[in-house]
Order: sequence, then structure tokens, then C-alpha cells
Amino acid sequence: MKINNSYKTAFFILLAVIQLGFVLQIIFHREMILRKGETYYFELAPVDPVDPLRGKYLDLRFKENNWKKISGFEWKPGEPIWLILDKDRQGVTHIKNITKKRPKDTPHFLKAKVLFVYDRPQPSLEIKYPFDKFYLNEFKAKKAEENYRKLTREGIHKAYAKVKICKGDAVLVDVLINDQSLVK
Amino acid sequence: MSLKNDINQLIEHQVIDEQTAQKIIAYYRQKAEKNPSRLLTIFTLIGIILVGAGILLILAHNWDRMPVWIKNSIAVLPLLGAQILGFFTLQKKQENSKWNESAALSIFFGLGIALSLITQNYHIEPDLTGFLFIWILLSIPLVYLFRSKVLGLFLLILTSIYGLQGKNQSEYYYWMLILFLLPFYIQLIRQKSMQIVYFYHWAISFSILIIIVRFFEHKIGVLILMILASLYYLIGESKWIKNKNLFKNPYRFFGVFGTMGILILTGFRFFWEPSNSHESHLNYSLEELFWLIILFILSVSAALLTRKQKKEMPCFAWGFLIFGLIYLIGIYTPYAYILINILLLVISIRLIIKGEKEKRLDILNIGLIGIMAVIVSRFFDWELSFALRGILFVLLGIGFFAANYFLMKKQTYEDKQLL
Repeated sequence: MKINNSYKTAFFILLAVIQLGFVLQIIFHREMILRKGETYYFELAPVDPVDPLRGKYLDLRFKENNWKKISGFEWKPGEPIWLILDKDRQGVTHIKNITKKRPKDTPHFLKAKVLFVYDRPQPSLEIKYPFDKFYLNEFKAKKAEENYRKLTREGIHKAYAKVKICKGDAVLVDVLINDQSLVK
Repeated sequence: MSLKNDINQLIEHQVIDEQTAQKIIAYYRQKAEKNPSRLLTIFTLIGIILVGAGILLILAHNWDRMPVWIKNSIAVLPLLGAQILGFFTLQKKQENSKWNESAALSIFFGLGIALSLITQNYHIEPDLTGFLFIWILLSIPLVYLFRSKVLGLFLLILTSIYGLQGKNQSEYYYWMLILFLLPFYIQLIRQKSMQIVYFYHWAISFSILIIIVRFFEHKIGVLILMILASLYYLIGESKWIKNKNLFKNPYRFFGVFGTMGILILTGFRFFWEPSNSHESHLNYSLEELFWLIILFILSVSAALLTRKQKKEMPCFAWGFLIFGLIYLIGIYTPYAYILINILLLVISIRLIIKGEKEKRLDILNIGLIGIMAVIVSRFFDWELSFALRGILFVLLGIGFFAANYFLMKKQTYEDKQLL
């Protein structure tokens, strides 16, 4: 009975370590990206002004979410793809190319997924970014929505997602509208 | 105290003497002392569930002003605390079921809190299927370590929700998770005295039923469902689960009502009419073929096993074989519905006879419903005037009432004779 008990305890400790380890591994991985990752700004597409916020998160849609140069391969929805990134003079990120394999010759890439594949009017695929929801405080969400409406009413509106990327993995840091942070 | 009042009355009317009365009171007192904390256990568990769910809701509130390390600590600390409670329970309170249940549930919620908070902290897209899978998988060992019946039930329900998502092959991983939980279920069945096992019966049978039904795309699904109904009935008849009360034996419940329901549905002519080529009876998907073969093998072997032990085989056990034959005939002619109606009629009459013989109102009424279904479904095929339909309905109602009334009367009469 006693041996049985110590086995049980040992197994429990192992389980507890795995449970905690799993949680901590997520934290460390994300913290590593935040510390070592490079900052990229992805331009956001104009969001439906009637309903920009869904509950307590902002649904992000990106301006570059469609890729038309997809001949030669067969692409399936849900499969992983790697976006090779480039920055323009203003520091805004653009997609240079999309590959099916992890690129080796450049550090500027992001792992994403294929959302849809279209045959017409021309073959293209829609990209699913790994960061398309921005969580907000439920009280702040209201204020952010008002801010957003005001800014879109004023006309000049450029919105960006600020993202840290390290070795293809990304963490969403902030959403900027007319250079103004949504969380501050 | 109704027991005391009852005993006083019994003494007054000299049914029992003073000594017996003392013995009875002593017996119940002792029984109550042995089991003082059942209510307390239930309240403790409800408390933990409420607090756990409450913390999850508060955290969903998302405070973004806090530095990330505080947010991460808040995410991890409940889990760590619950794990320490679990360690203490294993060391000092292993025999105490209240402690065991509480520890298992706390760690389960701790893990849920940690996972959901961290995905929010880093704006990780909440992929519900992946989240549920990790949460369930890392919680299943707790069920065995702490022998937690409540957590086991929770995980069964959560696993069903996970399987129903149908994303990232969750419908396949579902079976793996169920397989991990199965030994605990078997353990509970073996212990026999447990009341909670009925909830497990319901959770497992319903969960597997909906997961299999999810696959169906074609008419052949009805045939598969019929085989499953027979299999469930046979499981319900087995010596481990056998219980005459339909509500304590969901396998039997689904077996009986599933078979009757399918027969009533397929008793209509429209089911067999090939309205378009897409609706052919022979169309099947790969999953449907898989389930057809697997369930057929299981049902036939279960039927053969039951046959060895019992001489009389109830119609719900072999119904699927005849239904299968009729289904094949239905490929060539829509008149197969007539055969279905004959089958439904035979089963119903057998049920009524059995109900009458064993004086069981439930069996009698299921048989009556079957016969009524045969008659009512003919209404739709024959062009009858409304007046005639009305009269038929009235006659059916009277017949239904009369059959019940006479059986009840017979029962009370025989009860009186016994006294």
C-alpha cells in the first residue's frame, strides 16, 4: 500500500510539472519573442465602422490579405505557409513572397495559414494571420470604439498592427490608429 | 421528524413493540453518523465550481494596466496553489473523498484559468479546439489519481463538446480521450453501489450517439442508427448495466426509443421514394461505411453473446437485421415501407402482449404508440376525408385510454388479492 502511495505521489508530481511546464513554456516563448523579436507594422484594412469591436476584442483585418502569385503549387485551406516580409521607407511591412517551406535565406518571415483558396477571377489565396484578435479591457473597449469612430469620421485614417516577430513566430503588441495607441 | 412520528404511530397501533422501535431508531442514527458529510461534500464541490467559474469570468475582464509579470503570476498561482492542495491530499487525506474531489476540481480549474489568461495576455488567437484538448488531456490523470467522480463527469461532457467542434480532427481525437476515461467508467460500474454511475451512463451513451450521428450525410445513416440502437439495447441488457428503469438505463432507453423512432420515420412512404439521384439509398461516405461495418460486427457479436445466456431474445435485439434486409429491398422498390409497417406492427403487438403479461404499463404504452404510429402514418398515404380522420383519432384515443385503464385495474385487483 505504501509503495503504491509513493508511486502515486511521484506520478502526481510528474503531472504537476507537465501542467505547469506547459503553461510556463507558452509564457517564456512569448516573452522571448517580445525581447528578441523585430518590430513590424502591418497595415490594417478599413474595418466595418458600424461594428468594429466584437465583444471585448478587436477583429483585425489586414490590407495585404490576398496573394495572387500562386501558380505551380496546390494550396489547401488550413495548411501552413511562410510569408517573406519586407519593409518600405515608412517602415510599413509588405509581403514579398509566400512559400510552403520555412525560408532559410532570410530572417524576415512569418508563419501563417491559408484561409481560403480562390480559382476565379484569378487563382489566389487568402492569408490567415496568426494574430487577428486584439483583446481589450471591457470598459476600455467602449472608449476604443468611440475613438475609432471619431478617427474614421475625420477621414485621415491609417491603422497598423504593431507586431514582434522572432523566427517566424509573432506576438501582437498594439494597434495604432493615426499613430495613436489603442490601449493608452 | 417523520420517522419518529411513524414509529410512534406503529407503537400506538401495536404493530411493533418498544424494543423494536428502539432498534430501528438506533439503526438510523448509526447510519446517519456514518454518513454525516455527504451534504457538506456537495456544498464544498458546488462552492469550488462556482469560485472557479467566477475567477474565470473575472479574468475574462482583462486588466491591461497591470504589468505582464503580475498578469502571468495571477495566471499561474491558482494552478500552483491547487497543485499544493493536491499534494497535501495525496499525503494526508487520501481516504477522504471530499478532499480528493476538491483537489482534483481545483487543479482542473487552475489549469483552465492559467491557459485562458495567458492566451489573452499575449493576444493568442483562442483556438477553442486546441485549448480544450490540452485542458482535457492534462486533466484526465487527475480523475485516476484522486478517484474524482465529479471531475470524470465534467471531462466526459467537455470531451463531447470538444468532439463536436469538428475542427483539427477533433472528432478523431475524441475517441482517444474517451478511451482514456473508459477504465474509470468501468471501475465505477464494478463498484455497483454508486448513484453517480447513472449520470455516467447518460453522459457516455449520449455523447457517443451524437458524435456518430454527426458523420451522417446520407440516408444510410438511418440504417447505421438502427444498428447502434440495437447495440445500445444489448448493452443495456447486459448483466453489468441491467436495470429495468428506463431512466437509470439510458442504453435501454436509446435502444427502445431509437428503434421505435426509426421504424415510425421509415414507415412513411416518402422516405423510400427516390426523389433525386443524390438521395439514393446506396450513397455513403467513408465514415458512414466505417461505422456501418464496425457497429454491425459489434451488434452481431453482442446479440450472439446475449443469445448464449438467454433463451428469449427481445425484438429490439434483432430488429436491426430485419431492418437491414428491408433496407436492401428498399433500393429496388419504395414499397419497402409496407414491410417496415408490418415489422413495426409485429414488434408493437409483442410489446403489448409482454406488457400485459408482466403488468408493465411502460412496455404496454410503447407498443400502443407503435400501433398508433402505423395507423396515423397511413393517414398521409390514403386520401381520407377529415371527418373520417377525426373519427379514427377519437377511436385511437379511446383505445389508448382503455388499454391503460384495464391494465391498471387488473394490477390493483391482483394487488388486493395478494393482501
